[in-house]
Amino acid sequence: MTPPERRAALVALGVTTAVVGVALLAPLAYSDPHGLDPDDLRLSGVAAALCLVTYASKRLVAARPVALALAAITIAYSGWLAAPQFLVDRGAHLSGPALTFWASFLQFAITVGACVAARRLPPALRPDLRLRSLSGRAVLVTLGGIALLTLAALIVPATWLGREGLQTVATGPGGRLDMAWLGPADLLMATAQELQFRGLLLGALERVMPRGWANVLQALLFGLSHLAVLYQGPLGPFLPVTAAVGLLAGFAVQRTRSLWPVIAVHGLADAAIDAFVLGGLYGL
Amino acid sequence: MASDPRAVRLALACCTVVAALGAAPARAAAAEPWWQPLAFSGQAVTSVVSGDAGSIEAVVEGRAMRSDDGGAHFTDSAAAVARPGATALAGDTLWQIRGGRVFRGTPPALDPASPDLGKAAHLIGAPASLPGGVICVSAGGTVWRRSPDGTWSRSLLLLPDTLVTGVPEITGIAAFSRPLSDAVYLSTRGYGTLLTSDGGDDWIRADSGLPGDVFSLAADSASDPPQVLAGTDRGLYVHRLRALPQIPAYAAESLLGRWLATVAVCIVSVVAGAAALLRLVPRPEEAAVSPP
Repeated sequence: MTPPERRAALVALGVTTAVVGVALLAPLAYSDPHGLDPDDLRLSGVAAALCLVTYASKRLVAARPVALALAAITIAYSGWLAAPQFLVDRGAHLSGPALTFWASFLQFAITVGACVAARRLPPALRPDLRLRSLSGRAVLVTLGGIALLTLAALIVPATWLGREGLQTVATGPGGRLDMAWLGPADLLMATAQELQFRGLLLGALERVMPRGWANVLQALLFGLSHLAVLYQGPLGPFLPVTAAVGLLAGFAVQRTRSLWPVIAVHGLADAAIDAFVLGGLYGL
Repeated sequence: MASDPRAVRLALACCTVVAALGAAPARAAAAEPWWQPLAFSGQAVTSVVSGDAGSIEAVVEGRAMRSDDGGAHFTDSAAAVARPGATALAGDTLWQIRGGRVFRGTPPALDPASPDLGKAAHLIGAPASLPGGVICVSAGGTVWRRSPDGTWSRSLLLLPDTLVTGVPEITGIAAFSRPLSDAVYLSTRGYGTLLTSDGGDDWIRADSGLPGDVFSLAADSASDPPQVLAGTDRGLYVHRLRALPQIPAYAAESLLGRWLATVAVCIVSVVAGAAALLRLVPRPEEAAVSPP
């Protein structure tokens, strides 16, 4: 790593984050952004545009990995938001969980596309996705992570976590929570998000700065990115909690040198939220 | 950089457009809080009951209080406050829990499919606008619902707040005895109040402005507007009946200006971002990328 490359990565991270933040928050001043832009296309648009700028200028080659990671995060998120309505508008007769599955599949596919694009980056800048190893330590971390997650969910007050503590236990005809669709959807979404944050972004930052700082920065961005989530609960605790989860996940990836443990834990957490929390909240 | 002055001028122009649109009367008026303090601020109101003629009776720090003007003024009451619960009047139909089972009508007839709720069960609610629909709570804290067709099923099981404190206690149920709303309200000690508007199929948390510890609930159909009263550890609160908040729906023509403003915001921020990238990222000779 060299200081100029590090500076390029930091500038790309700071500038793209600021621009996406302005695009996210500025419309709040004059409109309800969810009514206006329900798929957050404005975030994808600005992130993709800045990524193209880095590809258009040889001068910005060292900024490309970070810009690509941020574009992957926003475009995949918009794809996930837009896919259900897109399918319904074209006459698809699918259940809500099935629509969620195909939305998650699109998010995964877009992320894989970004990973393929990352393979074409200069080797010195190319992020290590850590998909080729699964050591005994990684398996242990996976099991420990699942236990820790369960314990934390039981110990931390529900209101701190932003969940409402409701569960609908009645099941209607055909089942209220179709986990046959939602389970794979959660796994695809978790894989996509881990590839984005702990694969592309963390990998890109690690190329140009110490691992600890790279982890802190990706965790901060992971927390900040939840500003864009359609989330109705208290934002105050939600952002630091997600940033802390991002930090822990990044640390696990760095220590195990594998992305698989965090994919497994993240997927399980999402599935648990679907099965035990969202059903009560939204009547899925 | 040569492009900077143009970018600044463009940014100023777009900011002017955005500011003008922001000043337009497009913002929704601030809505009344979902729950508001009514009386006895800071005092524990352990029980609240609404009477037929708009009266409100409450137990405040052990004292019985009564209001005959919708809660504007309270005076000491000589009579003991009736214990809320165990019966629910929905229009002309009386529902009640007796010996852990649900009975309907006068004289009371056992609802044959009703579950065994346990001897201590006493919380029951039935909205008059949903004939045959009933919500009740078992002694163990499971919420049951009766569909208008007479079938019973479990409706809600609260998740524990923490492993240590366990599941919050359900303390009250309220529904309007006149056909004013399908809503049934449930109070808890920990999760505030919950609300269902589809006979207990789905629940949402509806406690904005309310303390977490709610001891008692009462629906007051006689007041204008109809209201729900909540006795809490920090006073008596009121929610006046109104529609649930909805995502605003815009007419297509009203979106055009906002879309243009958003596009302008995006263009300006991308131009500024690109300029910042080109300005702050070192030149290639400084940032020599390592060869493969």
